[in-house]
Amino acid sequence: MSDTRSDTDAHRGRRREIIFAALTLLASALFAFVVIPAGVTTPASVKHLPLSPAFLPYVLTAGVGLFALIHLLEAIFAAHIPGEDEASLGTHPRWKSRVLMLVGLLLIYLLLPDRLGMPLTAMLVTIALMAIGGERRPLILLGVGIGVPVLVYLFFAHVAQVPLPMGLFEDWI
Amino acid sequence: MLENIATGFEMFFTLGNLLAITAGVCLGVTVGAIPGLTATMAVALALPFTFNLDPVTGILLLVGVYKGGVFGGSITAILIRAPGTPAAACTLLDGYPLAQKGQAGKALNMALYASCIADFLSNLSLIFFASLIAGLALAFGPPEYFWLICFSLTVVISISGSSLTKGLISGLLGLLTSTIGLDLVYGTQRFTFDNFNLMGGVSYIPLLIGLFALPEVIDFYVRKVAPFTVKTADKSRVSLAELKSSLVTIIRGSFIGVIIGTIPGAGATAAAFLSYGEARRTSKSPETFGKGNIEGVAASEAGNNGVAGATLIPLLALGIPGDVVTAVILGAFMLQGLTPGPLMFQDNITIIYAIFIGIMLSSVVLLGSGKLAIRYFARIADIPRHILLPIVLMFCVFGSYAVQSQMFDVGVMLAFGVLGYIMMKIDMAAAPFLMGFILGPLFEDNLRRSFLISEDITIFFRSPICWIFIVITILSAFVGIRRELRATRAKRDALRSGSA
Repeated sequence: MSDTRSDTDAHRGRRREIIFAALTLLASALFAFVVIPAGVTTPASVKHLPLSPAFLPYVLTAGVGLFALIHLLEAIFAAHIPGEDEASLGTHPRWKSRVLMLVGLLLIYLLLPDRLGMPLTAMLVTIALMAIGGERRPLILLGVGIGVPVLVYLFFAHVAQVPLPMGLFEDWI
Repeated sequence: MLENIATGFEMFFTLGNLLAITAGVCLGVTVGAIPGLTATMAVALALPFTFNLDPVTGILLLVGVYKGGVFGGSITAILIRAPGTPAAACTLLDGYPLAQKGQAGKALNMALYASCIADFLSNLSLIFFASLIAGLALAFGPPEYFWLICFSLTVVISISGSSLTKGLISGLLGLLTSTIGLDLVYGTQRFTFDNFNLMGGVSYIPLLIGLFALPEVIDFYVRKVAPFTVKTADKSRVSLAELKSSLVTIIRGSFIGVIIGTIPGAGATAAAFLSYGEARRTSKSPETFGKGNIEGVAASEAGNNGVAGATLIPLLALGIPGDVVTAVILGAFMLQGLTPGPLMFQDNITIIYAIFIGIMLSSVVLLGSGKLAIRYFARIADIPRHILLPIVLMFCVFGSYAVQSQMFDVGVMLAFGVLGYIMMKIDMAAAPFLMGFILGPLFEDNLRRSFLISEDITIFFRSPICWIFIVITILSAFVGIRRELRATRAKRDALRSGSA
């Protein structure tokens, strides 16, 4: 039974490595033929190849492609060695909804500080993340969720002199 | 000379100087421990306070902040996998696994001891070999730098984790990411796609925070059963036997730090990784590195703290700042009407001696304030993970924003956080990526500057220094690859015999 399971794991691991190597190869080809020509401006006056702005990106992309190819061959022909993560804990039963909520909260951190201000955004996200993590005690949720962002804000704004966005509170402050 | 030393002692032993060093180290440790706030930022923040101080007091305050900041970065690297400074990124490779095993105290104490010993040795090098080493550093031109960086990049082999090819891909991707921004020679755009925020390249602090700290946060919300606390149980201490067995590693790392620190621009991060790579290469159990080997913590901390005193060598001996921090300290000297360089050793030798005495004392102060910091900061690891990680995320956001006061850097941090999480899931080490990213600009800059000096390729073989680095680069790469291949073969043999 356990032999069958380890065989399945090894098969899955090997497949994962093949997919990784193939995708990396594909990405390096895409980079070499599309991204570098579109993203790097090379002046006409370049006399020597290594002085060209595109030289190193091409060399590095070729290197990535080469090692991806070696990895692909290794994954196909050599015995698979299980990675650290393969033996680790599985995913949470509701991981999809948790990840979606996390993504939403990360987007709030990215998009709302200019409107709500950094401290208020930090409070909202911190309280929400603690609640998602399983915290139910209102005292902890509100105490930590409000107190810590205020302290961190005071440190950054008044000790480290970082002008944090205050959003709604800009005029009030 | 003795008269000058005696005057230096007299000039140093004032309450103000002692307070300045202590306050500086404490401030440095605190700021360094906060992800996003670097030792550079702490020194820059402390600079205005030196305007009204005596020259010696002002300089010692800044040196204290710098040294405290370098050590402080390791605290959060070990406890929450969020390096306070880029140089501490190497410390988390073994420090964080130790913290997960409930040995955070041991890791923090080893980091402190290694830091203090390395700092002390670095200071001694500063005092006794300043002019000699500075002269050697002056012999480094672009081709010599190029080979030095090539040698440093061979460390990627040692920090590749379970797969050498994936580690090398990770390192190359880091190098590739470092090419984003305006071209160094022609000023043309590279992968910026007209985005103004990318013209100066990707900021390394948001990248660092994202790559290492954010994956832990994401992983917590994805995993089935995540441990609610890091088991500190923190009675764990470094035994005398452990310290003795790590001493060779610490001394070797310190001297790696001294040499790297002397060469302007090379930086503490490279020194930490080089020292770590050497420790792993010479270890009898290299497979335990990256999984909580106390020697790994000692090596990386010795490497990055060995740089701290040595970066002052080109500053004091030649008047050349080796990095941004020493550039700020150079500014402080100038504000005080002093010009570091050979003339300062003639005209203001008593001030030099007073500064040397203060710098030596700073190692002792670091030990005391570090012990105190460990006692209080170690409690962070006792906080339940579902409360700690939202706070870590908040520090990540505030710290990333603080770099340039723009939300774009928060976006960079989040993007590299997602990349770091993907790398974690596909078992691809993030440390080679960081190494490539940090050394990338130096690598390319020196490659192209060499070609600007001479279009002939023989410029890369022009001096004995070039040849020395070519030989050790080839040797290091060969030995590293052979060892990794042997380790992989041994794992496969073990798997085969297990399944047979």
